[in-house]
Amino acid sequence: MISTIIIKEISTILRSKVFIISFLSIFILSGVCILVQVDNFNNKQKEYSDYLVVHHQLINSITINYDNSLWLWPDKPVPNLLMFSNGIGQIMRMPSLDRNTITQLFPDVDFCTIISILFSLMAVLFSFNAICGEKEDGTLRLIFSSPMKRSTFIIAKWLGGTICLALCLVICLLFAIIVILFNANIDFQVVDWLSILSILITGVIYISLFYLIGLYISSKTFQSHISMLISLLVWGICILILPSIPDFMGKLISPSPSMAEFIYESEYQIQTEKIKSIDNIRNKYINRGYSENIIDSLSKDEIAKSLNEFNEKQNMIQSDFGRKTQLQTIISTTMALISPYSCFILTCNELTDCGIYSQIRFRNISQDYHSTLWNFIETRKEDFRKNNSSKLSLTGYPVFKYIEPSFKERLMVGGVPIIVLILYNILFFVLTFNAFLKYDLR
Amino acid sequence: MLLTIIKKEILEGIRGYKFTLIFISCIILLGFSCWVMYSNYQKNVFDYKLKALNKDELIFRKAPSVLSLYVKGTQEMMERSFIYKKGDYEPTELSIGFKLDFFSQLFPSLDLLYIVKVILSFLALIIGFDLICGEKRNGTLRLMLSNSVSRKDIILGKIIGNYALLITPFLISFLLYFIIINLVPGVKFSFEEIIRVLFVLLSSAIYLLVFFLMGVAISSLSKTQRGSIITCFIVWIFFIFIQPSFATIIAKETQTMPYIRKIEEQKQLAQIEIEKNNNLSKDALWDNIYDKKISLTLGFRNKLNSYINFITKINMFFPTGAYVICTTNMAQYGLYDEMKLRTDLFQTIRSIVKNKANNSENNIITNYSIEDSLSNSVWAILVLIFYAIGLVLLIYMVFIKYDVR
Repeated sequence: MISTIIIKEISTILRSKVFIISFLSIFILSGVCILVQVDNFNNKQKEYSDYLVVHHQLINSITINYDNSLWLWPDKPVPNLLMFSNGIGQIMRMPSLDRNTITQLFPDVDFCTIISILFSLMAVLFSFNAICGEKEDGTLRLIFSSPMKRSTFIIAKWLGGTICLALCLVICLLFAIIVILFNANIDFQVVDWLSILSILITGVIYISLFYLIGLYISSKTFQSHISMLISLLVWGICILILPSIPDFMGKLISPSPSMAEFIYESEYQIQTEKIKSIDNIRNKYINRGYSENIIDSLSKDEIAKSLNEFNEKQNMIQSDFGRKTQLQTIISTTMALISPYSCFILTCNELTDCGIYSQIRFRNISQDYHSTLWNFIETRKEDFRKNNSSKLSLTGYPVFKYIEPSFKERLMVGGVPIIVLILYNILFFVLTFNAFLKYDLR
Repeated sequence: MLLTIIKKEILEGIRGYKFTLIFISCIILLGFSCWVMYSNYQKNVFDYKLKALNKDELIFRKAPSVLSLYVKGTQEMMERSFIYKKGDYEPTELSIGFKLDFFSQLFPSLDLLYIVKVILSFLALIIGFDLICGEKRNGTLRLMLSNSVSRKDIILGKIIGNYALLITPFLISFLLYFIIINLVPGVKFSFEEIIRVLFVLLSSAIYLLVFFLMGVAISSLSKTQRGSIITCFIVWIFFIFIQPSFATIIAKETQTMPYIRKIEEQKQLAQIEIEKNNNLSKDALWDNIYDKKISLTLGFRNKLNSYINFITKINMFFPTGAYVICTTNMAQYGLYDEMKLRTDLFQTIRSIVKNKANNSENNIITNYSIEDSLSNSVWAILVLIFYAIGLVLLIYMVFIKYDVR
């Protein structure tokens, strides 16, 4: 019985004119988006390889007097799945004045954002009159005049709609993959395929959630235009408003010092205090009547002690700052789970290796690499000084090799939002089920 | 007759649920946005004051403007702290390598620009989408035309009346929060800034008009309500999310924009190469390196600026792009302001280097005057007006031939 209704539901949706129009527009919009993103990806990859050549030259030409370690920080290679989800851009470890500011005003939209906006909207628009629309037409009474359970009907509605939209998602994704394989110079690894598959599964869960939200609203209202307005309102709140709130709430709940404050506290304030305390120690000896040239040797230990204290204090401020910002990020990320849209985006970002945790991971890796490279250069400099050779040779320096996170790692961090999405699904399913059982058919 | 229709539309709208919806969302959103942006502004002011405490160092930072309460724009880029140490070639950014608050980069912040650009334009479409096909479905359109009313009056009355319903809640809540924010200590709008805010408001109103008219046009072109709403949202998604990346892609095809880090490393490389020929005196060596670095910087900067100009020009032709450009320019957080800031900072450092003086008297970062800001954004406003007029004509043409049966 249930399969008959599902098939009926699917065939009505598939045959409707609105569905064909909306599918075509989704297909075109996501197609345009993926073409743009592939081009973007190719550009970024070219930029990166160009940069690597210069970077290699720079490290090879380092001379004995060169002590600027800023340029030894590695740059993150372009992730293979960048066109699916842009996430956080590259971390700039550059003190440069000139930056490309275009993305501040006109941000690039990636494939995952587009499909999450489009498909959730379509899910809501297809489900808002699934129940109250049928009631208005009078077909709902006809259906229940035959021996059919209400539970079967609501499950069939939900599955039918979700399957139709999931089908569209599969087609869009397939098209995207074909475009990528033909246009981008890229070879997908197993990890990438698995990530794409998980994006697809998450997408289906996400679509089903919005379909359920629409059904719930539809089973709570009796007029289709009110149902539509409420659905659109809920959609707008979930997609447009809720994602922007967690950042602010995180800052409100656990305020962390800003960059300027941190630098002021950890550098300038401590510097002035340092100078003051050294002066104090010296003055103490001067007041006791020692002559200038003895003071240096007398106060040496005391000054070293106070300097040590300041260093410790500086380290403390630094770790405190790191801890506070991390706490803030954790709070914001947890709060972001309120909105299904940000859940989906967070998962996609982690799966494509552009998310918050992958950036933190990259930072740790690059710190390790930076110290290794710096140590290598220092030892080569030592050798140079000992051997009195004519040129500092840095051949065979450790080249930065970025190891992408394994699929398990990606799923570990990106899995939490998926679980939350599933929980939302269950919640809304129960709510819809309940509401429909009590629905007044008359 | 027109007045009667406008009056009827307004009275009908005020009693409806849409007006309540818009009013509530304007009050909540703008209030929340004020709160968010005010805390942000406070933080920036605090950071700016810290800069003044370090008297021994040459630190450059733009003072946050009250207009950042409404438009964020390129604020993050413009309000960075730069330090110039004696003997350096160029100013360097202070906060390198520590940026940890990744979350803020993921989702847009809730400023007036975002609210109007994305959320209120969405509401404008919701108001417009069933203006004509909805009445047709109810059958009231036939009744109305059976009276001696011209179609022109009906359509104009509908547009004006419903637009008033859309814009009044926005203006009222904006004014309410503007008064509240003025009472907060530490926030003071000068006369010029009030005029800037008025221009931001004006362009927001025109932008919302364009989206509202788009909804009406789609409504008069489509036959069913559902078809109308789906078309509306596809158009909305296209203009808000997809169109801005078009400009970037066209610009990347025609202009070459080198990777910034590559240029920075090239500068370092040049420095090392020149330092190798150490048969020069110290001053001459410094001058040589300086010239080389400056020429690389200028080369890059010219490309960057022409790239930004190009993208601005393309985006100008679309309503969303025009609106963003216009508001950010008026709020002094636009792309041109950022360009000016960089040029100013560069010139300041250059004059310090040339005079070999280390006084912060030269620390001058000037803003665009209101005339310049206007001349930068006047085309964008004109484009918006042009869209509005074009859409009114389109709606008129379609509605004259509309089949009311």
